[in-house]
Amino acid sequence: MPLFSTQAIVIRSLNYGESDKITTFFTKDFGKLKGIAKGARRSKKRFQNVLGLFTHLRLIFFDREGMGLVRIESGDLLHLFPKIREDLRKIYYGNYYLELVNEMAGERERHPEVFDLLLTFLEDLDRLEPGEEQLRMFEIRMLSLFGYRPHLIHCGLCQRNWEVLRDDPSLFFSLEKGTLICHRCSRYGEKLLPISLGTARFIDQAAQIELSKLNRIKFTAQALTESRAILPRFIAHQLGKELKSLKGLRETFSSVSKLENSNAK
Amino acid sequence: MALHAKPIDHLIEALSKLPGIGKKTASRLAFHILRSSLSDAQELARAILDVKEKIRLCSICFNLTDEDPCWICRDEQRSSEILCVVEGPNDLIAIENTGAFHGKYHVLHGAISPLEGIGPEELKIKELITRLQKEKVTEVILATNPTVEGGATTLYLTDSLKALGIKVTRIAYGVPVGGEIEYSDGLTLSKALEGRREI
Repeated sequence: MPLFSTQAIVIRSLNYGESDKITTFFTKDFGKLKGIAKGARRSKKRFQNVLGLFTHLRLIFFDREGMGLVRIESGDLLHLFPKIREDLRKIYYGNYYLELVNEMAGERERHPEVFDLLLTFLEDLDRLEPGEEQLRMFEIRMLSLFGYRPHLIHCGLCQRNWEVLRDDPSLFFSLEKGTLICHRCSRYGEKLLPISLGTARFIDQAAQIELSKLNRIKFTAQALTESRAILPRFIAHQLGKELKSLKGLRETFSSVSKLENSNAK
Repeated sequence: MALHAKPIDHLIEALSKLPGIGKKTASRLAFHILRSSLSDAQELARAILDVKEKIRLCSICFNLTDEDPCWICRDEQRSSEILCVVEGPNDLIAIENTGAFHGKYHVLHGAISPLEGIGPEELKIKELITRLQKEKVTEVILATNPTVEGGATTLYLTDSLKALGIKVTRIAYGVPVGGEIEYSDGLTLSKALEGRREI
């Protein structure tokens, strides 16, 4: 059975049977891979600490047929992101990144740029204070990399561009079409959400700028509010479901803030 | 077309629904049951029915029990001032087996897992807080697993329990007995160093 090696990030891990684990990785060279690690829960050496969520590792695995579960042979730890594990909000943010990758990526579809994006965002999450801007930026980049980039440079129906649309009293984003819809065409559209020209320009720029230059552009308050209303709903529309971690993030942090307020009183 | 007589197929199908049991293992188990004595088979069937009919959650600690409150909550020799919070009944048994803990327990029945849609509401956290408001507990030991999910649960509980003014501790992380430093990862070693103590 051929043996392979690649960089990987653990995006899901479940206990299986008495001592095995079924783990989903996003790998640099093979895309999303699911594998079984025999005896992983008992092993004190071979799999120690490499099959937990967020772990960045060099994965060594056997793969006989190029399909189904691979057999995980071992893993060399590269990075554990310890600061993510010490902050509840970071854990929720990181889980959202992992779930988004898991839901959008098909098995064994190679996307090295998605691997780089996930690694970069996990490194930033580990290093920096968690901010909502990071979530929205990750969504924009993921949509772009998987071919769902919103088309925001002209109206999706009449094709009038930004220069002309500047004077429109209101603009919309169509969840159905994934495009900008001008004021005039809005009566023909369904599932429309308000968007400003500034936000449309910002999302378009954020989708295209080089990953290394992403931190040079910043959300305005309006762009952040509008992105919050548009992007998660557009993703849910594309996937046909709401992501569990995002729902959990909203619910948990509304209860934590209630708790903090009651402590403060 | 069924290869075996209907009752055998039925048993194989029922056994193969158990976790980690495939068709082959289920078939082997079914033939073992078929060859065993009638009394052994009746005992197995009775044991399965017993756990379904008699086992419930203790109304105090939420451990699995056939009597309410469970034997640990009823035991007056155990300290009621120290409470050990665990994710599941198997963790409670593992800690009991050490013989090193003489307080009482609270079983959460899971850990916070955003990917699986398990939040604080799905666990016995509200019940823990209500219990701590009623009982005279001076220390809560958080004995969740050292995983991301266990860590998330610990962080959430620490925030929630701070308000009650109770001492909150967490079991130590570090190199396992029988493990080797050479094979330990950086995070485990740094936790072991942080948690070192004078001897």
